[in-house]
Amino acid sequence: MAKKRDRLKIIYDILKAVHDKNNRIKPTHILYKSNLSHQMMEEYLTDLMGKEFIIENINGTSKTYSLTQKGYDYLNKYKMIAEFTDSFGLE
Amino acid sequence: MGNIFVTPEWFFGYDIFLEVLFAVIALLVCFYAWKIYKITDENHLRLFSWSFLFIGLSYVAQSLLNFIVLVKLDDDITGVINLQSVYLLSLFGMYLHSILFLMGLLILTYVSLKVDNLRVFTLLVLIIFSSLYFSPYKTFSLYMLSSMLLVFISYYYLTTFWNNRKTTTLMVLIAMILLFIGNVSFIFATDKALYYVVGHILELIAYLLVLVNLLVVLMVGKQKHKNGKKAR
Repeated sequence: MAKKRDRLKIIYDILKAVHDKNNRIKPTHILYKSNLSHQMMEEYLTDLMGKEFIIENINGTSKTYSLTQKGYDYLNKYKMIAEFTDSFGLE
Repeated sequence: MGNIFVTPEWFFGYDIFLEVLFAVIALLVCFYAWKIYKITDENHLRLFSWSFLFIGLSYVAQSLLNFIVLVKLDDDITGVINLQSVYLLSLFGMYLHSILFLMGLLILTYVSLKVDNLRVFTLLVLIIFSSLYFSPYKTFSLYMLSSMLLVFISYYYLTTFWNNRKTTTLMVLIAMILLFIGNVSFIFATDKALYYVVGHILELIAYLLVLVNLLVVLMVGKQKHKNGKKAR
């Protein structure tokens, strides 16, 4: 049951990590900040790109991620999202 | 055959007002759930929004049909009394309300089961609606089935509250239990008018709790929204 709650919080943590790194973060930093396994992080990043919360920037061999407007919206409204999902048992 | 509730005469009109209120509250929950779904893209939030959409629409249908029946009864007193048409109209309203209400509760139960499987959902739909369709006592079956679903939903909120100990979740839990008791009251409302009133009053308290919960969520969310903007 706590799985879904964790999921929304993990998404928040990843987006916050991107935001706190001046909106340009390397995957290794995300791995460190989100405290996920490499495989899980890859799954989340794929999911977040699919949902258009982040975009991938490839410059030569280096890869970074940036927030989209949708990602910012999620960050800004996270408290309401968490309150709503907590109250109505939608974690 | 369907049964129609025995309604006390003094309660005519009040029930329609209450049903409109329930519809507004349910549609408000639906609206905000949809808004959050649009931000998060999480499927269970979309389903939750749909469940309250169906519940809201069920009350819209019920209040509208009750209103038409009320107007028709007023007309018939001065003109030719056509009890058969009033009965059929009430029955139609009852069926429409039943289908929408059960669908809403069914989706809510499915969300609470946390099983992302279309086959499970289809099975639930088939079992619930075939039970209703083949039952000779539609009203009784509706409220029996919805009561059973509400037991599941209440149990889910009980475990959720047990884990998070949040006052807002407690409010939703109490609301679901009151909706359950209200539904049980409606089972007896085909014989005794008092149960119809009791059912409505319990539903009123339940939906007011849901409304208060929603307002608290929005207030807390607004505070953080400002913080979020600052951080940005």
